[in-house]
Amino acid sequence: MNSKIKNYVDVLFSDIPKGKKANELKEELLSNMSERYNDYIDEGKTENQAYSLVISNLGNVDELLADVIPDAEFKQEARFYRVRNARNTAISVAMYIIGTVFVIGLGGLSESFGGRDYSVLGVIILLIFVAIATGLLIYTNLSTPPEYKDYDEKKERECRLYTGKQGRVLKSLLSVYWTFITLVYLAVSFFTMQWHVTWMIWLLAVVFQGIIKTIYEMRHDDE
Amino acid sequence: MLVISDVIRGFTDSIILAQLSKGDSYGYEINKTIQAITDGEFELKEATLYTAFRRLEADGCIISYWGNENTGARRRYYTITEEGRAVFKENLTDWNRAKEMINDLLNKEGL
Repeated sequence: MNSKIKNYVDVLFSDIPKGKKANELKEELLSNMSERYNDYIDEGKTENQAYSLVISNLGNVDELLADVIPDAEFKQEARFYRVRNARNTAISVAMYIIGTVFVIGLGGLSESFGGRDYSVLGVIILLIFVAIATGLLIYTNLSTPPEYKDYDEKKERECRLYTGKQGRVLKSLLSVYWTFITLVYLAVSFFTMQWHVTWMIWLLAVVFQGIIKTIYEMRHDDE
Repeated sequence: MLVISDVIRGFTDSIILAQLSKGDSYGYEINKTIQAITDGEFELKEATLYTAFRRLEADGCIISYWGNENTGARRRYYTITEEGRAVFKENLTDWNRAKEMINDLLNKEGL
């Protein structure tokens, strides 16, 4: 493949946000232009002649490119799915962890109260939570149309989020958060001396971090 | 003055459907066929061609799929749908009528 043609097409698409439609058009243009170029070379034209003929044959691509730019409606829908999926994932992870808390908590309860054994109840609750959370994850994944999965506005946005002023705010916020969690963990552990249970604070902290990030991203989405 | 290529451009969609009704094809090949049929006198700009592909696909007249070429870039092939064939047949009938009418209007002596 001629690298000059590839460069030309890359420049054409440099301002276009990456999406399924844009990628497909790019690949289609590139393969057809390369074939045309090779035919010109086979006819005995020089590389420069072939290149300029291929470019002049392309014509005005403005309308074509406008067609593959994700429009406002698409962006809004992509945002809807992203927020919904982030929320559902957070809920599912929380349910997995809360289910585990029930197993450990009810197991501990049985020990302290002697009489009844609640650990089976804990396992049953865990299984119910796992079933709901897994179902939610599968539903979320299957109900997201593929073109929204491919659309990587998120990447662009994340780059902005983690490099700009907002990114620095989020970073310092998170470092304060983790210091705070460490203090809470040590305080609770030494106070209760229940080290076999308190490690769960770390799992909960991860879930809360996800929730904080999601809320933060949602609040700064429109800027 | 009548510019032939402008007249032909109005029929871009029908021309593409005509080529695809002979079998699946891809952008450059369709353009080569058009060039061959018109003895090199006419060729679609690629931008025009791909814009028409998008339009026809959105209207359900054609479907695209990717070929699996062993060497080089993948080709995007297009195939005509039943709906596309119906549209093409209609366009062909319309064109034949229009051709006769314009011929009559330009050539025939007035009554």
